Amino acid sequence: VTPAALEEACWIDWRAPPARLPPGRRAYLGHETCEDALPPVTAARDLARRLRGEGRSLSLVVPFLTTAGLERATRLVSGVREVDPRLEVICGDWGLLARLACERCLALAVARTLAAQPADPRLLRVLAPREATGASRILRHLDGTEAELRRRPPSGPFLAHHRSTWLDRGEVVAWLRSMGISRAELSNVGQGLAVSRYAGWSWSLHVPWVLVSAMRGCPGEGERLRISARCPETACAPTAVAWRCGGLPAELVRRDNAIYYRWIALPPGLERMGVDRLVRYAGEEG
Amino acid sequence: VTAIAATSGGWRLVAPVASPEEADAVLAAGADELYCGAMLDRWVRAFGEDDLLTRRQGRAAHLATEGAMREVAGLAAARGRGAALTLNGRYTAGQIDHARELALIWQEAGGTAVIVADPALLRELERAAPRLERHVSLLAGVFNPASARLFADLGATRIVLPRDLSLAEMEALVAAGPAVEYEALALYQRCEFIDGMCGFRHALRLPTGTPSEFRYERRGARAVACALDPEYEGHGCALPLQAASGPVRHLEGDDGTRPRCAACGLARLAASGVRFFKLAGRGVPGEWVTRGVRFLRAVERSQAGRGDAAAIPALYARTFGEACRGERCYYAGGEA
Repeated sequence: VTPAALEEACWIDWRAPPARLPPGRRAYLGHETCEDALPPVTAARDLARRLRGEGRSLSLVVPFLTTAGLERATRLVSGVREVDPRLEVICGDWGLLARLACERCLALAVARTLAAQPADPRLLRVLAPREATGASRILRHLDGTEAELRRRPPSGPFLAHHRSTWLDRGEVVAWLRSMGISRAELSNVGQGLAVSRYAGWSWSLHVPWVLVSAMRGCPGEGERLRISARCPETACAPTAVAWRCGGLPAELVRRDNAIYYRWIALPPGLERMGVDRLVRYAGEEG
Repeated sequence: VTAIAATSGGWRLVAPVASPEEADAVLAAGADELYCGAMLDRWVRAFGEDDLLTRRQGRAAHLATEGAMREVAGLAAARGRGAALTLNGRYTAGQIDHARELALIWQEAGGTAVIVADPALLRELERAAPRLERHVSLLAGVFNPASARLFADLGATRIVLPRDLSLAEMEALVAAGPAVEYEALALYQRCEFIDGMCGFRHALRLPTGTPSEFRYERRGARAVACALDPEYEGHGCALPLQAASGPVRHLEGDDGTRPRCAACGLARLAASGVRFFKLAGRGVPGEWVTRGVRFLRAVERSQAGRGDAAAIPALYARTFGEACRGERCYYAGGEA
């Protein structure tokens, strides 16, 4: 259940937009991790017109960008801004952020890819209360001797680090604010969230998909991971593939070129932390 | 800004070290610059030994004392070479003072540069540690000229290019980027995941056969090994994952006998303005590093250094004992 004070937003995959969306919600469109999966300007403007016609606010999400991608993304932002002058750009690229910041006419936010939250699903186990994971096992040294291996509880600073982000420092927020950036996007990491509230600064929280990692491109056939800058597909379609591993506290899902895990439970104190928006996926609004 | 002498007028090779002994060997092998991490006791007490400080796990991959920092910086200075301290975490509020302190210790030790990913730290160090050059880590994610300009405006003197870019994309960035130094990865340790955007942990175990490190506690007559995660089974990015279609297939392993290699592309990058070439792998066995330095120096001296890559496969086979193969190319499987 969404606390009343929070704005609701909803991811829309421009490649397969849903016929209907819940009323009143802000729409996120674009792509978080792949410049090749950004919409063409015409398609983005058409979708933006439809969403504006439904009375929605728009957020355009842009990933990290190569030199060529930066120029395409700049044209995309300009094109969508013509449809919605109040457009918000959620930016995963420092260069585009700096470029747009110079114009001082758009709402700007730092994307999850730049927030760099600790997001390995194994952290759920590492940071769990001790009584839940008290097992030990035998460790074999390289010289053949053995020792008992036990869990060491994490320190307070270690816990605090994993519930925060580097963006949550006064001097970082001040610097971003000086560029006209007033928001950052965060994942609802399973180990919990504890960030600070700053004047003139907001956090968005993405639920339930926690961004773990991103690759340059999608895997090839049979989930063969690649490092090529070239996309293996001629037509880009939304992809979601479950990746399982015994002992992982959460199942991974590959969506296009990024890896996520699912975590639903909201942390307490969202308002106190300055979280004022929840971002869900279309079809998973809950 | 400290002027850094180099052993040759051409490619500048930047090599990792984790101890003064390694520094001596790597400098003797012909490295122009060193880079290292430092993990002191006070950090370990609060944050453990995994990859939070420099995205490299384990104390064996780091200098462990201020004395070792001074020794490595001194060894480099004695030969007129540079030495950079890696501080490429994105530090949270409880960590940033320690990172700042390490930079100041490094400056006093005679180090010549820091490698950072945190824009606010970069900006601060220009004022707080002005004798240090400031290199932007590939973890910062400088993928285009506008990003490079932003970091240059924040005080960066060198940009380390993300290894996720193709050769053509690096050329385009450097051609339109600001007048700073550019560095590219040349050898070892390529992953499918983008360095600056990967939330998988590299916990205590090194991927190279180097012994795991654990803190031992005395329990009566027994010593018990303690770790944050006794169920740890390797890098998150290399987990044995299973999809419905079968196993997720990772890139082949990358070790001292068959490293991922960008030698074929270095002349092209050098022609575009990239002057510094880095060997990845702090904490890998020192002989890998010295072998890699000698290999790249031999490549530079051969016709390959002037753009003819035909000599490289034989050099690679002679150095590493296996023929080079296309899938071992560092940049996008050899694609332009």
